[in-house]
Amino acid sequence: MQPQWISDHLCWTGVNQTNSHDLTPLPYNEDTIAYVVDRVIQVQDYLGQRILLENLSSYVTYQSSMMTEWEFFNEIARRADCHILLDVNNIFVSAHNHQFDPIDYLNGIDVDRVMQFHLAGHSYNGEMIIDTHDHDVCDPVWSLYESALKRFGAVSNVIERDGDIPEFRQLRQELAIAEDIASRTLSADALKMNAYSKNNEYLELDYGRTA
Amino acid sequence: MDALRKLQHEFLGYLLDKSSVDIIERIESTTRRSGGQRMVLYSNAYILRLKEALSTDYERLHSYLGDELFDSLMEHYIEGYPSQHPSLRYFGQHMVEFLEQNDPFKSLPEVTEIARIEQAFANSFDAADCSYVSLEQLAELDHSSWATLTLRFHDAVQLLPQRYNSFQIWQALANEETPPQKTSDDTIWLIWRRQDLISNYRTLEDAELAALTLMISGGDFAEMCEVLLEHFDEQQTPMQAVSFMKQWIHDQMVCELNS
Ligand SMILES: [Fe+2]
Repeated sequence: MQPQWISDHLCWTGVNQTNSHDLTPLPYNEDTIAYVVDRVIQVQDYLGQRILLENLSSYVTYQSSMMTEWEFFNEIARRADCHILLDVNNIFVSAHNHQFDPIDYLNGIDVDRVMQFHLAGHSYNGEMIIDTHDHDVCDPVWSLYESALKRFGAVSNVIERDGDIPEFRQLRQELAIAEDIASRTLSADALKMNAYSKNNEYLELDYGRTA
Repeated sequence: MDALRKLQHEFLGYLLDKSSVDIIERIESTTRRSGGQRMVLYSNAYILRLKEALSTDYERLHSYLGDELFDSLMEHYIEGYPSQHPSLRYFGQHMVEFLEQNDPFKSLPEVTEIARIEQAFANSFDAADCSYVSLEQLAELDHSSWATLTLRFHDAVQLLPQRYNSFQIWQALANEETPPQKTSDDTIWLIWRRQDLISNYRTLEDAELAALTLMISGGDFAEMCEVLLEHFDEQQTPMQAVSFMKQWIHDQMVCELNS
C-alpha cells in the first residue's frame, strides 16, 4: 500500500498505557515543539514520506503555553518538514472557545504546507462549542472555508460526519455547497489542480533522511 | 520532557478520578469558563464516550438489566478498568470477569453468559477474513492422506458452553420480545461467520462437539474417528466423521486443509 497521505492529529491521547480515547491539546511551548518535532521526524523516516499533522478542537489552554496554537503548529511543521491538514471547523471551534480571531490562525500557517482541509458540524454546550461532527457545516464555517481557499488555493477537502448522518442526497448537497464556494472563490486554472498535492506523489518526493 | 509527562499524568488522573484536581490549577480561566469548568467538559466526554462503547458492545445485556442497573454497571466498570488499548473496540473486553466478581451480578450467572454471547458475536464479526476451503478441495484430497488430515478453522469459529437458557434469553432480547425465565440448560452453542459477513449460530450434539473440539485443537482425522467410536459403531464412524467435516466446510468454518 502506498497512501497518498498519512495524517494524524497534533495532540496526545494517553499516558502510561492508559488511553482517554480523546484528542487532548499539548502545551504550546518550546519544549513541546522539540519533543514533537523529534517524533514526527522519526515517523517520517520510517514511512519514507511526509505526514500531515491536523489541528484539533480544544476546550482548555494551559498556563505553560507560551505562544498561540498556530505559531506552535506552524513551527512544528517547518522544523519537522511535514505537511498540514487544516481542519477549518476545528479552527472555528477553538477560536470561539479561546476567543481568538480564526483569520489570524489562517494567516499564521505557511501556504505551501497545507494539503487537505476538513469541514464539519459542531454543537453548543452553553457558551462553549463542542466538536461533535453531528450537524451540517454552519455558515460561519463555510465563510472561514472561503477565507482558507483564498489563502491556500484549491486544497482537497473532506466533510466529516460521525453522527446523525442524513440521507445521501443531503450529504451530496453539502458537498455541492463546498464546490460552489470553491468555484466562486478560485479561478478555473487554480481549481484544476492543487499544485502542492501533486508534489506529495511518492516518486517525486525527495523526502529521505539517512540516520 | 518531565513537565509534559507530569501534565499528562495530572490530566488523565482527573479523567479517571475527579478528586485528582491538580490539573485544574494549570488551566487558564477566562470570562467564558473557568479552568475547572473547562476540565469538566473533558471528564464528561470521557465518561460518555466509554459508556457509548459499552452500550454498543453490550446492547442485550443492557436490555436484560434495564437502564438503571446497566448504567451503574458501566460506571463501576469504567472506574475499575481504565482503557489499556488504543482501540475502543477492546475497552469492554473484561466485562465477563467484572460480572463474575461483582455484586449483584456474580449471583446472576445468566448475566455473565449473555455478556459472553455478545463478546462471541463481536469476535466473530471482527475475525480477519480468510478464503474458505471448498468441498471440491476435500474431494481432490489423496486417499492416503486422510488419516493425517488436520483442519485450520476460521478465527470466527467459537464454542460457547452455557449452563442456563441464556441463548434463548439473548434471542428474545434481540427480537425485542420478553425474555423467558432463567432455567438450567446445559447446551453448547457454536458461533461462526460466513463469507456474507453474517454470524451464524446453532447448538451442538455430544458427538459433533467431541469431534469439533478435537479438530479445533489440531487433532487429525484418525484421532477424530477414534473419538467418534464412543458415539457410533465401527461401520458408522468414518462416514459420520466425513459428514461432520463436510458440514463444517460447507458452512464456511474451515480455512485450510493440511495433511
Ligand atoms: Fe478533522
